[in-house]
Amino acid sequence: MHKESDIRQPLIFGDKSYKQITDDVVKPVFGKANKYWWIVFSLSAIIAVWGVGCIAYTIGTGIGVWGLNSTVGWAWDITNFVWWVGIGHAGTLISAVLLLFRQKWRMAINRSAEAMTIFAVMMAGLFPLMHMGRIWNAHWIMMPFGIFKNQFGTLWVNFNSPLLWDVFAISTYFSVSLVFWYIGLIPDFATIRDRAVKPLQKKIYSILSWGWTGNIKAWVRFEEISLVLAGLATPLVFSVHSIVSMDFATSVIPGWHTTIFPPYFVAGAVFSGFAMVQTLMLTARKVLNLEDYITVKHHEYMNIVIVITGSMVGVAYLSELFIAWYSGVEYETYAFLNRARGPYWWAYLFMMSCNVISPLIFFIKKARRSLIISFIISIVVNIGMWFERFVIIMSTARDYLPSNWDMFHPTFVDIGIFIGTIGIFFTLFLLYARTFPVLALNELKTILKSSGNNYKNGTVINPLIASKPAYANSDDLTKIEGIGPVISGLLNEMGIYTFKQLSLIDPINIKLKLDSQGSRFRTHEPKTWPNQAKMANEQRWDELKKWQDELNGGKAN
Amino acid sequence: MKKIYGLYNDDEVVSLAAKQAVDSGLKVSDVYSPFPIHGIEKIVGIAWTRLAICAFIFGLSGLIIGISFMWWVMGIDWPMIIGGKPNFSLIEGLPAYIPIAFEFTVLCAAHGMAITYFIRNWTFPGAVARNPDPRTTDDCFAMEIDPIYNQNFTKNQIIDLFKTTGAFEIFEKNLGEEPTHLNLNNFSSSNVQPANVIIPAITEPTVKDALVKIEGIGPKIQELLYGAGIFTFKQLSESKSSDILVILTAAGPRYRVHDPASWPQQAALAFENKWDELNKWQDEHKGGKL
Amino acid sequence: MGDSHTTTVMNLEDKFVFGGKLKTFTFILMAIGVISLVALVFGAMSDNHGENDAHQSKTELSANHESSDPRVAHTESHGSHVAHEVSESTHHDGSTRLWTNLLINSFFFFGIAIAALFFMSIQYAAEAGWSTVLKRIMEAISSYIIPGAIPLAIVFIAASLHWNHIYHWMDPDVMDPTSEHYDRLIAGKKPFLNQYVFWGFSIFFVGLYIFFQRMFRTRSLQEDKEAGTKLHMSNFASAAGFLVIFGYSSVVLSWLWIMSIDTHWFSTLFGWYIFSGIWISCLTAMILIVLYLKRNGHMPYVNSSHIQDLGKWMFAISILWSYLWFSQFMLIWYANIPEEVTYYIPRLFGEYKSLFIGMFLVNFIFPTLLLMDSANKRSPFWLTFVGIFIFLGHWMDAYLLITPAVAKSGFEFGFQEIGLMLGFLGVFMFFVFRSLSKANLVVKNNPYLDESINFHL
Repeated sequence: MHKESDIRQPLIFGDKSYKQITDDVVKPVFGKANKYWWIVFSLSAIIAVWGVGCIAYTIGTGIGVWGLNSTVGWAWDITNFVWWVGIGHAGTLISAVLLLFRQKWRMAINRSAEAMTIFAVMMAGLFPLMHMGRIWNAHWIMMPFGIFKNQFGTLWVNFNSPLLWDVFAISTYFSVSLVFWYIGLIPDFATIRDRAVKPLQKKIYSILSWGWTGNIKAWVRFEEISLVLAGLATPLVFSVHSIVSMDFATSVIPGWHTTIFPPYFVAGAVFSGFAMVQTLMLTARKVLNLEDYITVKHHEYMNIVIVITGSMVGVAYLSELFIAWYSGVEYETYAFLNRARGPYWWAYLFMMSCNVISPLIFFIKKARRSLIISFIISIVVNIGMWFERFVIIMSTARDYLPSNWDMFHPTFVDIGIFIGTIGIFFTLFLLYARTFPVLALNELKTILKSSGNNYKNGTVINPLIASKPAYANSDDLTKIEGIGPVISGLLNEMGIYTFKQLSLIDPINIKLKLDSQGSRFRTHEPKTWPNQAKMANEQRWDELKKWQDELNGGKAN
Repeated sequence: MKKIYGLYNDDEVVSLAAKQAVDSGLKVSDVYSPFPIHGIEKIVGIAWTRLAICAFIFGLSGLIIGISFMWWVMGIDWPMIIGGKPNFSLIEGLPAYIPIAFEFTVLCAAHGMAITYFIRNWTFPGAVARNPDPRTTDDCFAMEIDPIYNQNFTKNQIIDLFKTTGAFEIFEKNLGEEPTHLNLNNFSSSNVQPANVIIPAITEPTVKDALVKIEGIGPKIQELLYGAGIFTFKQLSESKSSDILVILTAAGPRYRVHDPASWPQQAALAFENKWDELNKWQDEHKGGKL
Repeated sequence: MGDSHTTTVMNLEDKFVFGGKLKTFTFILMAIGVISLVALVFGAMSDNHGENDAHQSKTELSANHESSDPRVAHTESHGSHVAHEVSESTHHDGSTRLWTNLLINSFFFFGIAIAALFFMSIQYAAEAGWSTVLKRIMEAISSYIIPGAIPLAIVFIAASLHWNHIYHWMDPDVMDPTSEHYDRLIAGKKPFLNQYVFWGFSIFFVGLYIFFQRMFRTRSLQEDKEAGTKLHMSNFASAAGFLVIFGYSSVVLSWLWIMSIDTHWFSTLFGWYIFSGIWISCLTAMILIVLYLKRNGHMPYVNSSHIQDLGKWMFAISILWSYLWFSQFMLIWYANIPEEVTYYIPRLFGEYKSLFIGMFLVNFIFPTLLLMDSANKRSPFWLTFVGIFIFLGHWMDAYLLITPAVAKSGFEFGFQEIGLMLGFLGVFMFFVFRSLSKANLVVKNNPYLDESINFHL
C-alpha cells in the first residue's frame, strides 16, 4: 500500500468500508431510477429519435439535404466529427496516462470517462460514414484485401491518404478503448453477479462477467494488462488526434497546413474531453448520489487539467497567428486575418473567448473548487471547442479565387443530426449509468486505506498498522534487546513508535517486515520483543534488564 | 477431497495469513479477493505473468506485417505515385506509412494481448465463475488450501491455522457444490501450533477488574481486552482509544462498529472509584458514545 | 512509559562534498574546453585576413555548391527567394565555426538548466510526492541558469556587434531596400527580428527565469529549517505562474534564438520541439547525477522505484520528442512546400545527412527499445548506457539545429567541437555539483518527504 502524505485531501468521504463501497456503487443497478433520471432520459431519448430520423432522411435522400457546397466541401459534418473525436480523448487519457502517473483520483472517474469515450467515438464515426453518401458501401474502406478488381488487377485503398490513416486510427482507438474498458469492467460485473438475487439479473451479469474468479494469478494478469494497455493507449491517444489533424495539415491549404497541428489538436482534444467529463461527472455525482466518491477535489483536479490544456491551446493559437505573419506568405497571413475579421469573425470570437479566456478563471482557487462555475465553464469550453473546429474548417470558405467564395448555411437536417447525436450520446450514457458499475469498484477499494477519509483521520485503523502518533510521543525502541537503530526505523515504518504498540503486535508481523528487507535481517528473531516492550511500557526496567541478560540478542533460549 | 477455505475480512490480514501458512510449511493453493492485493503472489509463490512479452511479440508482428503489406500494395502490386510520394522505395516513402504502421502495431499488440489474457484467465461469455464464495467479489478474501497438496497436515491443523490467523469463517467445498461449514468452536485446538506462529504469552495478573462496567463494553469485548493484556481499569484508562480500536478491528468486522473513544475516560473514573460520577456520565451518554 | 525520544525513520543528514577526483575531473574537462576554444579562435583568426574578399568568395562558393545539387537548386529557385537564400548560405569558415560552437554549447546547457526549473515547477504544481527526494538535484541543475546565461550573452553581444554572422537578419543590409543584399522576406519580419525585440525578450525572460530559480531555491533552503505547509502552498502558486510564463517564453525564445538563424524558414511546431529537446536532455542529466551520487553512497532514500520513475520519464519524453520531430518532418515532407522544405534539404540530403538521420535514430530507437522493459528502467547500467547516448544525441540535435542553418555545406567537425562540448560540460558539472554541495541532499521538512521516502511502485 502506498504511503500518503497527511496534507493530501481524502478522495473517499464518509464512513466507508469495502462493503459500503460495493453497496454505494451497485445501488443504481439494483435500485429504481429517480425522477431526475427519467426527466433527463426522456428528453435525451426524444432528441435522439429526432436525430435518428434526420440520419435516416439523409441516407434515404442523399447528402444533398445538407448545406455543404463546392466551396465548403467539408463543413458541418467534419466539424462534428472532430468535435466528437476530441471529446472521446479524455476517457482513454484518464484511464491510461493518469494510471501511468499513479493519480489516485482517476479511480473515481475513469470508468465513466471511458464509457464517454466509447459513446463519443461512436457518434464521431457516424459523420464520415454518412458523408460517404452510399453508406452501404462503407465496408470498401475496410476491405484492403484486394477483393475488388477491374481489368488491370486488384483495387487498393490509398495508404498515403490521411483519410485512410484516420480510418485505421479511429477504429484502432475505438476497439482498444473498448477492450480496455471491458477488461476493467469484468471484475465489477462479477461483483454485481454475486450480489444479484433476481434470476434474470443474475443470468445477465453472469454472462457479462465472463466467469471472473478473482484469484491471485487473474489479478496479476489484470494488473499487468492494465499497465501494458495504458502504455499502449497513451501514444495511441496522441496518434489518433494527430492523425485527425493530419486530415488538414498534410494539405497545402493556408490555415490548415501548419506543423503545430498534431500536438495542438491533441491538447485541444484533451481540453474538450475533460470539459465533457466534467459536465457528466457533475451531473452523475448528483443524480447517482456519489458525492462521497466524486469529491470537490476531483473536480478541482479536472479543472487544473482544463486550464493547463486550455493554456496549451492558447499558446498554439498565438503561435499560429504569429507564424502566419512571420512567414511572410500572403495566403497564410490572409487565412488568419480572414478568420478574425472575415464573415465568420463571430465564430472566431467564440473560440478565443471560450477556449483561451474563460478557463483562466480556474487560476483562482475558489473558482476551481466551485461546482457551479466548473459546470458553466465545462459547457462554455465545449461550445468553444466546437467553434474552434468550425473556424478551422471555414478557412476554405474563402480560398484563392474570390469568385469561388461562398458562405455555409446549415440546413435543418444538419442541425438535427448534430443535436441528435448529442441526444443519442446522453441516452446511451444514461442507460449505462443505470446498468453498469459507474465507478471502478476494484480500483476504488485499493485506495480506500490510503485515501479514504475515515482511514486518514484515524476513525478506522488498519487492523495491522496502528495509527501513527506524533514523533514526540515515540519511545526509544532500541532499549529492547535485539532492536538497533535500523530495525527501530523499520518498526516506525510499520507505524510502531511506542512500547505499548510493540507490546500489542504479533511478532510474526515484525518478522514479515524484517524478511522483506533482505537477508541481513533474517537472523533477527522478534519473538520476545512484545514481552520486552510490555515490561518497558510498564516501567519494569529492572525486570527487563534481568531478562535481557538471560536473553542472547533478544532470542529466547 | 474437498478444498478448505478460510474467509478473511481484510487484505492485509489475508496476506499475513498466507505468509504464516507458507511459513508453517503449508501449500496455499490460491487467494480470492475483490481487488488485487499487492505482493501476495510473492508470498504464495505464484510467478508474475509474461503477458507483456506476448504484447511485444504481437506488436512487433503487427509492425512488420503493416509496413510490408503497405509497401507491397503501394510499390509492388499496384504501383502508384500519389502526390509525388516515392512509394517504390520503402525508405523514401516510409513517412507516409508510419501512421498506419503505428496504429496496426498498437491494434495487434493490444488485441493479441487481450485475447491471450482472456484465454489464460479462462474468461469468456458463458464461462463459469470459480470463486468459492460470492462474498469474495465484495469485501471478503478467501484463502484456499487443498489437503491433497498438504498430506503432512491433518485437517484440524489446517483449520487451526485458519483460526489462529484471523479467518472468521471456515468451510470446505468442491467447485459447484454447497460449502460444508467447519464450526469454529467444534474442533480440538490441542494440536501442534504451526511452526513459526508465536502468540505472545501474556502473564495473567491476579487482579482483574470487571471491565463490563464501562458503558460500551460487553462480555465479549471484555474477553478481547483481557486477551490483549488490559485487565484493570487503570490499564484501560492509560490506553489510547486508537490502540483499543486496533484490538477491536483485529477481532473482526462486527467489532468495528464499537467506538472506544470514551472508554479510557470512563475507566479513569472507575479506577478512582468515582462511581456516582460514572453513572451520571453513562446516563447522559447512551451506548458510551461521546 | 519509557524515555521519550524522537526517532527518525531514516538518516536525512546527507551532505555531498564536492572535491577530490570529481573536481579534478571537471577541471580537466574545462582545460580540454579551453584548448579547443583556443584552437577555434586561432582558426577564426587565420581565416579572417582579407575579410572583404571572403564575403564575396563565400557567396560565390556556396552559390556554386548549391546549384550543383539539383534538388537544392529546384527549391531555391522558387519565387523571389533565390538572391537571399544564396547570400544567407555562408561557408563554415573559422569565425563562424567558433561562434556556432559557442552558441550550440551555451544554448544546450542553458536549455538543460531551464528545463530543470520547468520540471521542478511541474512537480510543485502537480503536487507530486515521489520526486521530493530528488528536488535538490533539480535545484542544482537549475542553478546553472545564471552562469549559463553568460556565454549565451557573449554570443549574442558578438552577434549584435557583427563579430559573427550567425543571425543573418542582424545584418542591416538585408533590411535596407537600397542595398544589393536587400531581402524582402527578412525585411518583412523586421518588427520581430530586430535588436530591440531580441534583447528585450531575452533579458526579460532570462531575468524571470533567474528570479524564479532564486525564489524556489530560497524557499527550499528555508524548508530545511522550517516545517509546515506554508512554503509548500506558495511554491504551488508560484509554480503555476511559472509554468504559464515558461509556456510562452520558451516558444518565443526558441523563435528568436534558434529559428531565426534559418531566417526564412518557419514552423509553428518549432517552439515545442525545442522545448521537448531540452526537457529530455535535462532528465538525462538528472538520471546520470542521481546514479553517480548513489554510487558514491549518497541518497540512500532514493530507491529503485524512484530510479524507475525517472527512467519512465526519460522513456516517455524521448518518445514525445520523437513524436514532435516526426510531426514536423512528416507534415513538411508530405506537403512539400518550397519555403518549408529548405530546412530539411541541407540536413536530409546534404552533407549532414548521416549525422541527421543517425541523431534521430539514436534519440528515438535507443530509449524506445532499451527502456521499454521495466527492469531496464531500474538498471543503473542500462540507464547510464542509454543516458550517455541520448545526451550526446541531443547535443547533436542542438548542433544540427544551428550549424546547417549557418553553413549549408562545407562544415567541419573535429576535435574542437567535441573538446568545446566537454569544456562546457565541465563548467556545467562544476556549477551543478557545487550547488549540490551547498545544502543537504534532501529537503528536510517538505510535507511530501515521508511519502517520497516510502515510495514503492
